[in-house]
Amino acid sequence: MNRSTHSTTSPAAWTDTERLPGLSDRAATRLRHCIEHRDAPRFTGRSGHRLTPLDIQTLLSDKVAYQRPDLNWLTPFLARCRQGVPYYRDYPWHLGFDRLPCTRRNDLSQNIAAFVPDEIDPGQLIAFETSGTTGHPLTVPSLPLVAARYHCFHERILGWHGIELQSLEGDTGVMLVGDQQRCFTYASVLPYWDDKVLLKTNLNPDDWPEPEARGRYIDACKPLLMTGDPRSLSTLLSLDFEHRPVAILSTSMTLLGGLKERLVRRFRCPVINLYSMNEAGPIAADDGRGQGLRLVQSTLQVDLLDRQGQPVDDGDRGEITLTGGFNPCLPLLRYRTGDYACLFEDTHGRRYLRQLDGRPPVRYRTDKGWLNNVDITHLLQPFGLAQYQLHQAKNGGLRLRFEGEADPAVLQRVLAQAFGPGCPVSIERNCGKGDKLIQYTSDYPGAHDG
Amino acid sequence: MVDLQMGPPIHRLHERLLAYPESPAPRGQDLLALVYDLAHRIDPGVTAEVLEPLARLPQCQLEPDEPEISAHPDVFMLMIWLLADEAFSEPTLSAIDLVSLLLSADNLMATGYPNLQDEDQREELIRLALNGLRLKPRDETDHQARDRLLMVSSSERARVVTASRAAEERAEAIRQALAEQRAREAADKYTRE
Repeated sequence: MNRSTHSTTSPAAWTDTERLPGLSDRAATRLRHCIEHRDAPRFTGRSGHRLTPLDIQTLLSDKVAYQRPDLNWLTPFLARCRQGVPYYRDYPWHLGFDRLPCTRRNDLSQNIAAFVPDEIDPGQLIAFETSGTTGHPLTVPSLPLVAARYHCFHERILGWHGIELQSLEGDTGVMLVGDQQRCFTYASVLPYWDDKVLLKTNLNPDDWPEPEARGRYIDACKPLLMTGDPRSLSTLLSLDFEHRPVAILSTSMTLLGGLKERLVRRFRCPVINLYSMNEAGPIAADDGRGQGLRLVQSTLQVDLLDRQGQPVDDGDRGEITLTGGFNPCLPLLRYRTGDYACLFEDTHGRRYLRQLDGRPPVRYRTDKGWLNNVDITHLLQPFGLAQYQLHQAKNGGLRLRFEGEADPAVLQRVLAQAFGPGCPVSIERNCGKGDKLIQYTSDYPGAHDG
Repeated sequence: MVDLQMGPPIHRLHERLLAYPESPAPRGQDLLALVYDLAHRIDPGVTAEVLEPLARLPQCQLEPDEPEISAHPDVFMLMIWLLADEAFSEPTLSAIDLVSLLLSADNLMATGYPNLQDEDQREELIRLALNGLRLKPRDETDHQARDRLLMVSSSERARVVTASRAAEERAEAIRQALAEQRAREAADKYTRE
């Protein structure tokens, strides 16, 4: 039985050569096994690597290039920005790099097309949507090859923990776990990693034949890597299964020490905190040395700036500001992330982010239980708000502040439906002009204990 | 090259400019409201997102008591006056083109405050406005309209218009490609961000 909810007119996932060009018999068999397994979840969508044979070749040479970085990459990168990127073309280049304007997520959000270099063919673009902590929804232009390049950086990060990704045996490479009311889930294969299967799943019991199927499925598929945000990983701990992945990657939000310890104790594998964002990919990750999060991309310059855009003194905290990156569709130039950290360099030249002020997870109390902040994102997404901030007070009351064209009365009704009729909801148009808007905040007891 | 739609007769537009009122021009929020009305009249399907950049124009941010910089109307005001003519309600026009035209109005002509008694300056302004909206004067072919625009404009100004339109067309192609891709799934990534 095919559990996928996709249209019956679509080919079965294991014959889908549009999303999975060059699909081998081995990959198809593995994929079919994972989708048809009796404990498999309901996969709500389809995805694929979309890589041509040429892309895969390029990816292999990228891997080699990333191991031998070009230390002089910045000068040609800046020249490309100046000549080929509409947004940067009129910058006061004569002032020098440190005096060039900074950009923020809001700049990308308002005018993303101006950041795409002239050399990029719009017909080749793919898009990743993100809501982010700052509340500025953003569509990130990308290419299938760029999505696949993440693998190179994950491979390097795992190498820091003594794990040689390419030498690992097993049919299922990665299982992403989410824990949301609804989630885009799918099964795919990774031609650049020995045709291993990639599973994107939602641990919400509603997506599974029965709640216990979740643990049995993990035991059946034996994913080598498991990735998810801290809240989903916390749910993982509540499931009954024997399998132990070789590593767990934690993304999206701050991984707190207590949860990390529980994960390490249960799975006895490296639990790696990864600082990553759609605009730049993986930026820094725990390398197991206890020094902080080590910078992973050799062609991504990380500066720490003060409010005026000047570099902070050595060792001081500043706003993480990015230049460069591996996505040719979105060259970043003094891009202020809204996240703050200190930089530290060890005696071997390894650079680390410390005291990273990332994205604390928040859950919201409703009359039926807890709602994840990702669920709130889904709830408000149809309104296309330019920016918003949701705060829950100690007494459970909600305050939504937003920028956009939505009707406050409709927003109020949607929140009242989700949170229950007894929950006071106040809606304010206008978020204010804060330096950094924290999208999800709460004073409700237990909001940060999920 | 995009085909040009048939616009009003050019003599009518000369007359329209010559009839520019002597009363003080609206400014600040009043001006913005006027421009929004114009955009809605020209393209009833216009969205707030398309209009949003207009609010940042210096003319639309002036306070009512700020002194006038010049006693003469600028290119921006003249364009608005010109395009408010009923003759522009006939063709199907795009508010995106209108906004793009108004945003670049200050840089289109060598002078920021054209002399309305100068026929050449009026002609240049009219042809720039028509071209910005992908129109040609009635009874002219596309070729004639483009040729005459080049004749009245300096080649540099025509280059600016073309480049600005090319940039806007490319930006629109990218926005469309991203919008189409948003509706589909992207490619595999094995971490969430």
